[in-house]
Amino acid sequence: MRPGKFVVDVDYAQFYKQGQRIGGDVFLYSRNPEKNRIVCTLSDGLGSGVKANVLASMTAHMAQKLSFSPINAVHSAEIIMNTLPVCKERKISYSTFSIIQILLGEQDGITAQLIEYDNPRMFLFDRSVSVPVEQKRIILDRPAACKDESLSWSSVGLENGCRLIMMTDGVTQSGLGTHRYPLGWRRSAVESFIQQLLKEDEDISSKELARAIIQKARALDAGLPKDDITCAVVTVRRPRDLIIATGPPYRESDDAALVEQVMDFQGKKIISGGTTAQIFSRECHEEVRVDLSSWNADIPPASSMKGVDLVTEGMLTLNRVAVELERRTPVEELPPTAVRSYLELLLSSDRVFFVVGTTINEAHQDPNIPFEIGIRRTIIHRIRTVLEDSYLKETSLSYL
Amino acid sequence: MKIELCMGSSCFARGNAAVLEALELYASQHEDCEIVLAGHLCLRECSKGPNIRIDGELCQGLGPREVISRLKQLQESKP
Repeated sequence: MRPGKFVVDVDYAQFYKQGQRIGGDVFLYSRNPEKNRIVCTLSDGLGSGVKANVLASMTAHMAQKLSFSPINAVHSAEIIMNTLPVCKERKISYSTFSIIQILLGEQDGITAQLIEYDNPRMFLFDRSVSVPVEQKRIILDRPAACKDESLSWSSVGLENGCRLIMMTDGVTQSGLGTHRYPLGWRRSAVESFIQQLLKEDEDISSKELARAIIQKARALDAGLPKDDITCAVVTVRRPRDLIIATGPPYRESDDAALVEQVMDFQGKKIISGGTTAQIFSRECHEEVRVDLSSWNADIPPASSMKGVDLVTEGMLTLNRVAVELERRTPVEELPPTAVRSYLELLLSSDRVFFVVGTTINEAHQDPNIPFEIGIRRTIIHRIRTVLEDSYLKETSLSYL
Repeated sequence: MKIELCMGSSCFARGNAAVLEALELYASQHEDCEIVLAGHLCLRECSKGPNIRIDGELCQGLGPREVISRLKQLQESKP
């Protein structure tokens, strides 16, 4: 886990053009294995549907790959531009893009290079104030194009509370042709809207902010998006921490240490496992109540205990948490069980600390019970891997 | 009548999920029975599960049908 004081929360939200089942806007983000660089790319392919998706995916994947190579940002962008075909009929590029390359310095310094080609210009907000970004224009030599092609490049330092917001023209052009917005929503009005949202809630997550923006855009299109609508947000903020205690410690003499470590933790807390919960209940002299209102045939009910945000059954719940994370199921589509509450807590956290007790429940080795009741360490490993690779969370693990 | 069901991983997977469903259905159809259902954390009897407690008495290894018939028996034997 990076020792820095701040984390980078990246997320996005998207609607496809009405009637399309695939999008021409593609957003990708990833982090290098050394965990000191994050790259986000938003690409908008010409048109909509499959053709646009192929073009935008190609562009975004190229941008991601090149951004992690030693080639500098501008040169990378030039390579993409010169690889992208120019539409024969329209004489314009097949795909636009915006790239954010975030460098996480050793000492809390975070810088971002922004490379933009024909998407609406990104916003930089410092809390609820929009900060103008000085751009350098780089003219490209593309003989097939009908106009002068240029990229814009900028470099900004990001402090705690800063956000970068990028979007496709489906946002800025929403409402186009309506009485109220004959020229669409437009960048300046989007800016005021974001400003208002941030004034109301400075701590809004990247996901919620992106979603609020696209929902407004869709509403301006009378609920039927006329183009793909995508918005991505990068937020620098203090980390939200979560600790997960799962499994009884191997030595009973470690029970008290486990409970102390968790209860003194500054952040949210999950206890994953009935026996583990009983240890906490005993040490803290607090009752654990099983809540029979939220369960289904696969997932046992959650419980509650004072001072802990969520208490769940262990292996079945953890296994399903791993599966739903791997499937990237949107949380709002999950039935209201312990798994949903679990995912909500995981996804709203930046750093997750697992404390795993290694006592094995002999009864779980019975071949007649579902194989999901497997080895705790294996399931925790799966959850950590998907949290780090697909959700860019930072995690740590200790055994007791 | 108070029925506690072990909701630990093992008991849940061995049949208490189905038992709970059956009991909820039974309770909704027999409102005069005054059945109180409560979940319980692991009762440490995993290998003999699924475990339930009916008015404090531990009952082990019963499936949904058996639990319901046990319940009927107990109600009939009541004065």
